[in-house]
Amino acid sequence: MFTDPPLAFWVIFNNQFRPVPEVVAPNWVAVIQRSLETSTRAATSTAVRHLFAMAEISKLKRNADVEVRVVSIPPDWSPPVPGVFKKETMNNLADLGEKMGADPSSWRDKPWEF
Amino acid sequence: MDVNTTNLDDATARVFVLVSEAQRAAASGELELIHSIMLSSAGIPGAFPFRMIDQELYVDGGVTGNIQYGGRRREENTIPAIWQKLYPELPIPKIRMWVIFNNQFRPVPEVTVPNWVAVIQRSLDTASRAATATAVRHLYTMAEVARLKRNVDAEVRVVSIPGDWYPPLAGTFVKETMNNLADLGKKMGADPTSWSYEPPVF
Repeated sequence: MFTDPPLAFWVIFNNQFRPVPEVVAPNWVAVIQRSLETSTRAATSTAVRHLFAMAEISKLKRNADVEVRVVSIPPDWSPPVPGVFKKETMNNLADLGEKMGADPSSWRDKPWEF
Repeated sequence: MDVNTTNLDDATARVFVLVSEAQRAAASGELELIHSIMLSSAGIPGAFPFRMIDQELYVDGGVTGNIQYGGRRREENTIPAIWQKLYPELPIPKIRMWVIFNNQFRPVPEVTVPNWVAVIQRSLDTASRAATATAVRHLYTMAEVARLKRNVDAEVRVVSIPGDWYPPLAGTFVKETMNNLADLGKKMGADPTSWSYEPPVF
């Protein structure tokens, strides 16, 4: 007689689930760039919520021992300098990652509402 | 009736309640706002113009989510859970969700021209449809959780343009293609088997 092994899903999202609010320049390049970024992150949020719901079904229907844990860059984080892949920003993120990685409370075990 | 848009400055979905907006516009005589709401909800980036509403920039709701289904709510804040809390003695009424997706869940394969404009356009199109497919799958799982946890009779039915449909002509909003789609819609609408009870698989 076998019992189902526990399942643990760990999701590390190396971004914020929602882009930081900003005034988007009213031109096509800025709008398309921002749309792609917003779209990707919104889709990731939906996928993570879907994962939580799938885990819930496994618990309810199959009596499985399932856990989902998610970590991401906190919403109140802002890059220290503007631009893409700037050294200061990347170092700041590396420090944040080290700090969060050392703290078990960084992991979220419930979906969020926003 | 709700109209879904995306506030791009805030990077969030913004749902406008069209009836109250229309009443407000009729009372004030200022129709510009309601026109902007309608047009922004069709403002697919790269295809149709964005709109400024209250000095914020709005585009199509598909950027943040093509369907509004309560997916952001925690289970304890969904309708079945709230009903059970408010009326523990009463059974939850049957819940049926109908999703009409006026597109294909997966874009028709095509050779993408190797330049930025084509790549970005195709990426936005693919991203939006993939996100819609995920949202529909999520809706099915939410209904399943409601069935299992709240003992509610919840049903989800989805219809979309079939995966094997091809536009008769190339281009966006070409008359022949739109007429072809209208004929297809009429035919599918008359056939109850057009509705799918299963999440999209591909």
